[in-house]
Amino acid sequence: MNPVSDNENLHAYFDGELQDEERKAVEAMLTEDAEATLAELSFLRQAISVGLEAEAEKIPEARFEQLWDEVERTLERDARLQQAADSDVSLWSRVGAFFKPLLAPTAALAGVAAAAVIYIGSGESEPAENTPVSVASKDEPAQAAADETMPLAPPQDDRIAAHVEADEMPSNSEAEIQRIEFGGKTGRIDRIESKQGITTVIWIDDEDETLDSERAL
Amino acid sequence: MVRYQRKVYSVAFGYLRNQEDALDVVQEAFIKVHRYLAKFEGNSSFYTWLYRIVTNLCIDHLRKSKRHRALEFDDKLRHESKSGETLGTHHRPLSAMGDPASVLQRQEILDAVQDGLQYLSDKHRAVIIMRELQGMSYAEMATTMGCSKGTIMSRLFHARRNMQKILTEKLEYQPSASNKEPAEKSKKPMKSAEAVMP
Repeated sequence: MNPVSDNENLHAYFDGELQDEERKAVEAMLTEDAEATLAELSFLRQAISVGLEAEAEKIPEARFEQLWDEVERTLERDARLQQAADSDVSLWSRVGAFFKPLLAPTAALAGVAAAAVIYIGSGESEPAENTPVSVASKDEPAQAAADETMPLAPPQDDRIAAHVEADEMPSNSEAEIQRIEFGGKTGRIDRIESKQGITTVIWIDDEDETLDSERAL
Repeated sequence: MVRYQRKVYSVAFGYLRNQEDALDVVQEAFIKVHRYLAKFEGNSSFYTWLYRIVTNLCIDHLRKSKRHRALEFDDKLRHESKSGETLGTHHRPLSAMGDPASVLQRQEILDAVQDGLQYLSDKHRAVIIMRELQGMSYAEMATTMGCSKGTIMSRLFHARRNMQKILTEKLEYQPSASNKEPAEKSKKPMKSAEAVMP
């Protein structure tokens, strides 16, 4: 083989990669050695092709069947994942599409409802303070009856509890202070009288309980 | 697609030189084909499209595995090929072995092809497979390998020379007479060369 007749251009000519002018130029210079080189290249191409095909024939058909089984499993897994992803997307998109026309009216209704709740809440707070009074005034006998019939029952609600506590509180008219200290002397309050805007405390000196002492406070 | 399976395997094996690796690539290629079949525009034939997928997978596999073999032998061959002193002067041309269709049925030739591919570098083997087995154009090869068309031309030239050298050495097909004889024989038709086959 003549090295001159074996170069990259000759290989490109063999591969059909040359432009018309280049191809004609190579053809004009083709020698017998160059043709031998082309025959070599042709032989090599066939040898490689046949050799690799023979290699592929060594693989038993069962191995390819395994391969296809794995391909099928992978594709089925892909399909399941895709189906799951699609169903998720379609569910949300359907829900969104269903509620989209209702979005504005629903928002408006929600606003109105919120305003109404706030208004009613503020209106109820005022009578709430008076409720125990009204309940105590009108239901006192009934509540007393209920207390009698169910003495061990716990209070039904906070209002009743408050009412009961109010009943247990001492009256404003009853004196809570029983002793007095005045002018270096101490004594026991006997009674308190109120006349024409003047309150009089009648008390008995500890030293002379028999002595009545009247002091205007 | 089953009818392509062995052809696709032969391409993958050509690149990877490992049976299980090649089968893995074939499996992945067919999965990709099914996944992207809807996107196949039909600009090229299905066969070409399938080969392109296999080629890209093989190149990716080679890059990932980084199983680059020592290139000393390949580099030596390349150097000798450039000088042109080794090939053709001491070895009878392969084409002189006779009709490829019949000669290639011989097991030692098939084994020599396998060995020849085994000894090539990844890049040389890739251009050989792309061109000789897949029939890719220089432009397609350049795009696939990410280099210029000129690089492909050069790489393919040296890859072929190396492959020829390995094949002749593996087959121990030495000229029996003188150094001039092979050159003379090479000019003769191939059928006449069958007579000197050992």
